[in-house]
Amino acid sequence: MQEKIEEIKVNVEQYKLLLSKKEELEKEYGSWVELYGELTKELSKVRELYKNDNSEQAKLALDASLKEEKEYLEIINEYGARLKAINDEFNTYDHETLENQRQYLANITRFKELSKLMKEIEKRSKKIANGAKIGTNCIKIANAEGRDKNIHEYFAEEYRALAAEKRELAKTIRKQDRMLFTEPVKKEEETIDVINPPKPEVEYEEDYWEKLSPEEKIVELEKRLERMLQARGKKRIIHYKGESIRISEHYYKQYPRIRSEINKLKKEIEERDNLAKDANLTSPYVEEMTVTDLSSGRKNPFMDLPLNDPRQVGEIVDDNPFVGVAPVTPLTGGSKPMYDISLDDFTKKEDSAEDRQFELENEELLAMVNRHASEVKKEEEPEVATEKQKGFLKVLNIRKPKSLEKLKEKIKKAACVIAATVVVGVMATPLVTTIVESINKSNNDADLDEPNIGVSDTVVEEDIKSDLDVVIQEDDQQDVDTETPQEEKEEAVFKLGDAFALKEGVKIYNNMYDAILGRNGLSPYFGTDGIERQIGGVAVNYEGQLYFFYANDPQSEENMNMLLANGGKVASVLAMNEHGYEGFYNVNDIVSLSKDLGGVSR
Amino acid sequence: MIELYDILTLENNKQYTVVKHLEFNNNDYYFLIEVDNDEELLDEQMIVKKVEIDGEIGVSPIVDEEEFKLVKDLFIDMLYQEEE
Repeated sequence: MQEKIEEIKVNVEQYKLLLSKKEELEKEYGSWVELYGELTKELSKVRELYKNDNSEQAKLALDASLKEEKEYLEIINEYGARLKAINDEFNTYDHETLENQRQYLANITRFKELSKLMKEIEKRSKKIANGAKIGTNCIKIANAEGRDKNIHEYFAEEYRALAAEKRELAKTIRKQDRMLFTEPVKKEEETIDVINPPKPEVEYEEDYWEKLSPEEKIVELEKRLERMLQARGKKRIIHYKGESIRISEHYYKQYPRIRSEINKLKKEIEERDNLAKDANLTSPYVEEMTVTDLSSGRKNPFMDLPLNDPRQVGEIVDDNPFVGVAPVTPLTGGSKPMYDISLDDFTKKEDSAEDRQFELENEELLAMVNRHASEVKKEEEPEVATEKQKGFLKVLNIRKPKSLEKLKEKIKKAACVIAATVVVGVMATPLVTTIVESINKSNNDADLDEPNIGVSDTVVEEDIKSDLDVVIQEDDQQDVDTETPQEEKEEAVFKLGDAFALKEGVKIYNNMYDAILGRNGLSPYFGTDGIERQIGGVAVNYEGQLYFFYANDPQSEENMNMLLANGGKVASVLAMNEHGYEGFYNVNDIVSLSKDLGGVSR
Repeated sequence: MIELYDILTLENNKQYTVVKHLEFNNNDYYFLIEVDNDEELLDEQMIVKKVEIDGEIGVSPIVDEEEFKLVKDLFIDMLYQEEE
């Protein structure tokens, strides 16, 4: 198959190439024809001019024009010949097939694209499940609805839409597969008389058909249909749970006589059972039906055991997990129809393993989403508090702000910086104090290898995402490779509040993550020079955790220096200027620190 | 009933304004920023959960790390949207 697709790709490419050549040649040919037309006009003017002139000059002019015309004609003829050749070649192509092939390739590409998109959604959904940051679009939907479950629903809906498109596309591709790769269906096979088929090689008794029960007739008819489909190269029989055979409604439609015959038989069975029920009689066919008999034809998972079967209800009587497992209904008042499933049920079933796969994918995603939702719900169900929770702060008073608009404006202005600092975690100083204490302790205590970095009740530390780790590790590596002898490096101390300059063309970032990762950068609002910037805060990477220090916190500098002295590295800088906080810069984008304040060139 | 932009006086005798509010899995979460008497924003920020104990309404820090991360990310996105 892959080889054939490759072949198609080559064909389509060749076709495209030929088409472009043809168009190019036609264009050039057209321009020569145009030139020739102009020349002919000029020539007629020359002829007109020297019509009655027998001078040498007139003769020369006329000769020159005729020669030029001849040359043009030769060129045109040459192009004409090339064009004809290419047209001939072009006409040898089966354009319809090529167009189909082109569409087929486009469909395959889209199919792959859809698979990617679906995987992407799965990833994003899993991210939510893990509590990781989710995309802004999803949040918008969550905000509009006001419930997190809508995020999951949103994903599921998007996923379902993609799956539906993929399913449709798969059907189209399969059709195209058949059209492009299989031989056309022979008419004769379509016209087999399904009700009175030609006698098989094995000799049957004359009244073979009449002796069959309606159930057995259905089995026979389905077997015939299966045989006919297989003869056409269509293995469209779905083996459900191992043995049971179902045939898609799609194929029944192609054989309406079989379909109507089966429906007729089903009706007959129904009537017979109703009659039997009314008369409290057992179906005359029950005695004849045994599991063994049927296994030679087909096994029906929904089949009841006959009354005279020695096996017990619920006993597993066959490899087929269904047979005998289902509770057996006593056959008082007649047997149940052999087929409990109506033909309509077939329409609800997918007609290929691939389709079922899509359904399964959907189900898995939904199951995952539901599982997560229930887990979260379970986790977050309000606990019955028996004692006051740690860190619980009673609300003593609630009042409206004095000026709502002003407050809103202030919050809006500060939103960027607030968001950036939330990334770091709230109340950074007490946390760092804990760490510093731990470091001090560890320095004094030889047995304690690791500083005790924990989450206090009111302080939350932020795990750096794994990709961030990578970037930081890479940065570390670069530091080792490209930067500084050790002594110089030790001098490059960041002092909170110091002035600094930027490299040309650097970007500013809304948060320190982006700054460290170098993503979603913007041009600095105030340019890269001509404005005095100060360090308003510093993000330090200490053992894979990011800690943020504000310049305006008196404790910050001491704590930051302690982390830096113990292997922490400055990762990002919050810039401050006369207008306030500007945004974050990557530490590598900073050219120099104010020397008079103790900084050094980087 | 705590609403957006309300000024809350907490047990620690500090005042906070409700910058963002999120209803999530039957819980109410608030993003609070400390304000002074003139309602100027101060540095202290908190992401807290509304808790009712013995009929007393209060707030408490989110102890569960996963829960905190999720709520924090939602708040961050809400803040960025506000900025846009």
